[in-house]
Amino acid sequence: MVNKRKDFSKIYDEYIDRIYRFVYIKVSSPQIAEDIASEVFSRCWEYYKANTIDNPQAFLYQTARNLVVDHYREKGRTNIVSAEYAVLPDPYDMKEKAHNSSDIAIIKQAITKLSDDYQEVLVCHYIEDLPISEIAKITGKTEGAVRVTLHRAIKALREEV
Amino acid sequence: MTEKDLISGLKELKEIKPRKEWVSLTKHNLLKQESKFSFASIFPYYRYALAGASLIIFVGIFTLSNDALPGDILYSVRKTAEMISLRNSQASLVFDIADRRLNDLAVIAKKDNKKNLQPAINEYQASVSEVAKSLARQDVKKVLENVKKLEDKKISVESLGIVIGEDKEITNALSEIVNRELADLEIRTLTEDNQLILIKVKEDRDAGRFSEALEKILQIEK
Repeated sequence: MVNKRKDFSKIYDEYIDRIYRFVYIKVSSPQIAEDIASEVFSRCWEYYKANTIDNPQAFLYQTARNLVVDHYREKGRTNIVSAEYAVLPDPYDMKEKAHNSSDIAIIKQAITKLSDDYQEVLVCHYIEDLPISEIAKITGKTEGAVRVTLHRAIKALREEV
Repeated sequence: MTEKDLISGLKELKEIKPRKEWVSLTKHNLLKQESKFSFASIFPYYRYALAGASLIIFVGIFTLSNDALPGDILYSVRKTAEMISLRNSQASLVFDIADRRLNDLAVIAKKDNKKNLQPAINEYQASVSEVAKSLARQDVKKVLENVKKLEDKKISVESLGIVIGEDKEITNALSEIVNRELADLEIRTLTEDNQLILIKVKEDRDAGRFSEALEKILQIEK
């Protein structure tokens, strides 16, 4: 159990930012993102204590996906993007680059208007730098399907922006 | 916005990070319950072997102590086991223990084991003390049965040449029970036959024949 704690601690350190970000972009609320991200790691730890996880990354993202879906199912999909997120800097340590800040805010707002599938592939590939093969494992799709979805997602984002 | 600008803008969203204090607190809360040190946590597979070995050793010691006599090294283990069962059982168990002490004395007499004799007598007297305390909690019929069994066993042990002496504590306890029962009977309305038996109960009590007094009390109460 001591080794498992050590291993899980490393997993946590490696993925906490990424999972939080993944969830935050989908839910647009820091508080909800914290709650869901906590739950993701809690479930992971409970599972890990009794089992082995071959691919922690895929496990965590899949769990995060499922919990966001549950969240929307429970709360009802609300696509509110409040003005503060569009205009003001991110409250959680987002570096503001003067020449890009408005573009980033616009992109962030636009992403939330996309479907879950599109959001996921964009976040996983361009923000989290996950390869197509890994995204395929997380989403349960073929690599070919992921490539097609990615292409369509970028196109949809351009239309929103 | 070109696709290139879009992708560049998406990458900027990497700057979204959670609060550092939330990250630390969440990790601490997740793992805090697992931080207790235990032998089993370090050697998870050994705990089953350890538990099994402990059980075998424990059972082995108690099995070996079953024949230990007063004065032997393992006698304390046997006595502990008896005391444990004593607390959890009914009052009549004290008679069983006193009976076992008399059995020990019989074994000692047959083996002519002088080394264990005095410790065994001491242990018997201690068990008699417990018997005396338990008598008040039992009904008259049970008291009579157990006292009689003990008395018969004592006679047979003494016939092997061991002098045990009078069980004064049991005698005193029987005296108290007889007086208690007499006090109860005297305020009741008795038949003429029972009134005559009551007179005889008092005669037995005054003569120190407490077992006989209790037998007559049982007759009245039938």
